[in-house]
Amino acid sequence: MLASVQILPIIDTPHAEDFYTLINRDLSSGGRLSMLESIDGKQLLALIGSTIYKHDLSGLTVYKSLTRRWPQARHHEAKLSRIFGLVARDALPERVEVEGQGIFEIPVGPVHAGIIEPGHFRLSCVGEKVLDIDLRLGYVHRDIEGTLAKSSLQQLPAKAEAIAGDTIVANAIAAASIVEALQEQDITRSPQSNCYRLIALEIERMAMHLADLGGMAQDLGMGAMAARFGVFRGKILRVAELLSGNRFLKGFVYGDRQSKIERSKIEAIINLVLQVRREMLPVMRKFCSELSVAARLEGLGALSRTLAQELDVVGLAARAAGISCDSRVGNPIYESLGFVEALEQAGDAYARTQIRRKEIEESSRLTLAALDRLLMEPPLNQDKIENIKIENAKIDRVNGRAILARVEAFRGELLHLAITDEAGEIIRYAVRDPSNSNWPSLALAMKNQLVQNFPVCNKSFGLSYGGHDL
Amino acid sequence: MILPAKVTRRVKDLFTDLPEDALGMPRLKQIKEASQNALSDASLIDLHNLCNICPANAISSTDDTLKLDRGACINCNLCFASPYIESDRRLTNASRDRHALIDAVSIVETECREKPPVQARLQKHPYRYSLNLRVVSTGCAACDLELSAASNPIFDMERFGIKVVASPRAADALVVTGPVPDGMKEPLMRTYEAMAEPRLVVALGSCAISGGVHRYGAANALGMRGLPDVPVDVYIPGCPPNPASIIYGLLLAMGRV
Repeated sequence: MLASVQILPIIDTPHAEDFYTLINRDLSSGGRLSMLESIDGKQLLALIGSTIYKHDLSGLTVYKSLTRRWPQARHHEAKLSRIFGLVARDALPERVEVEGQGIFEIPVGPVHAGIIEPGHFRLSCVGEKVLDIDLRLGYVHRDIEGTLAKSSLQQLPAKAEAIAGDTIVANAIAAASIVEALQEQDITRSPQSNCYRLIALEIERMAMHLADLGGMAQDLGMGAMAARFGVFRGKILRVAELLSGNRFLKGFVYGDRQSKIERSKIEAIINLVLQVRREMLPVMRKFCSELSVAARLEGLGALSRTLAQELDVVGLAARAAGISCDSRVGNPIYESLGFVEALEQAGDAYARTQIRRKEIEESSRLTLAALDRLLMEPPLNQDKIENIKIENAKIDRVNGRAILARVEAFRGELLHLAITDEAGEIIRYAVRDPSNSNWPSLALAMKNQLVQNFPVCNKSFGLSYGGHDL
Repeated sequence: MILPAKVTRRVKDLFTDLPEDALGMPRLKQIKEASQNALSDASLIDLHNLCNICPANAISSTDDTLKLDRGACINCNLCFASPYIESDRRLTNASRDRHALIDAVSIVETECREKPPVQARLQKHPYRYSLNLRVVSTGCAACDLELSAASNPIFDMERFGIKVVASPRAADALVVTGPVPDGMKEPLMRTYEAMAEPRLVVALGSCAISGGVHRYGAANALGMRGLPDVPVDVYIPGCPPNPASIIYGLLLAMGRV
């Protein structure tokens, strides 16, 4: 299966001390805090690695904050307060007041000077140097998690596509995998379904990385390069349209479109991908080896490996700092196509740009390999292995449990967690976009940088507002 | 597709349909068998399923009519399996009239397809030759991506004199994307109030038109319906609309089509 789906037990800790001791133990031994959640505001759930700890708040709306010891918990705690009104006691202050002679504050947003999602930033500067950034998000909170929890299983993947407009396929795959686990059905309608999902996911990755590279080029004043990236992205979206009938691959992951694709169409798609790849790769390499690009981006917004590990940074930003964290590694389908993870060491904006370039190259290769495989008969051998795996998982009844789906979206690891009651109905549907883990690192990476570099540094992280605010 | 300008002198004729392999928005088919007598039981079950299948509740039926609201459709393609739905590949489906986005078919009578009311046309079009946009994003950003794509060299909306500007003071039209949840109502109103009159408002995408799938959430995300003080001039349906569709809608706002 493309998404890794796990049915997790919930470990109940009646005493608050046990809850915090277990969290401290797991996080100190290298565990990652993936989620801090609640079902209906009456309990705390902490997802660390593949374990969920639960602590009942017994009617209280106040809990002891984790941020003093584990600063990565900040955005999770903000989410708890936004959605459930739970208050973290003894938390790190919302922001450090930066005061002194010559220090001034630049407010930006929430409505930005371009076509950008809403978020409010306060940059405390002295001269042109940024001392601190206060990130204020939550403007686009639409209660999509509540909508998803109330949804019927059949409609869930379609509604999940509205979580973030740039992560449509990854969200649909995660939601569809959860629905398939809940219905205990065979994971695929057709044996090639995984292959189609992989192609869709990689097309989305290419398109969005190209959009970000184009944005970087625009911010660096290279208009012609930006225009070329725009055209390449347009061509990739045409591939998506050929495949699914929709430029954003909406309705492709779960609908019956996959079974209607003919051999001749696959051949046409292969030709188009080959053509785009041939045009695109030299331009990307030129962009990355351009002296003015390297001069501007090297050392900008650097995130050291240690800091990235401490903050539980995921996805592209972590890989740029040398942390191997791609959940495609070890996935049998990706392994069978010879997937190679992109890694860089510097952790700066230039490294993140290089990761994007490498991932586009790798994604176009994977897409072609998967399309070739679709042309071959018989289809994927992997599916047999998959079916056995899922049958084993099915022995565990899913009632009153937590089901977690992980998908490597273009920004990083995307998590969907569905918690069911005794009757098997979803009572809480939680989404963790990779941005949720990465926003704090942007604020730290921008410290002591020049204020005019903020837009390009922001773009190099390429974080989502809609996926964060939910 | 938008054809090069030299092909025709009428701007409207520049917009051809989407390619054959693309799926457009759903459209109700005329129900032929309805002309003889009432629908068979099997068809009624089909209709019932059709109304239940839509994640955005865009399809509804009363005793005698079936309605499809393109202003709420999220392009999930689930309804295309139904015999009553066909694909509408037109790029010219933006409208000045909210009701024109609703397709209605009579289930029992011969007379099909409610005629949309006559469009209220603006008396004067102050922005006929250029339109400066201010974009307020309040949602998932898919519409933002398509609006950005509208200014790339493939679609090139600047050839029609349309561009995005960095301040509401310099803008002629406010483009709203996303379902306008509680958190964005004030920033949106302040942007609108900062614009000089005459100002146009464009609701871009199903969320901005009706709230889309977010209508029933706890954040009062009803799209521009949630802000009755702001009159909408043009509705562009789609989730997200094709960049060419967006350009057509903006030309409609300018009074050029």
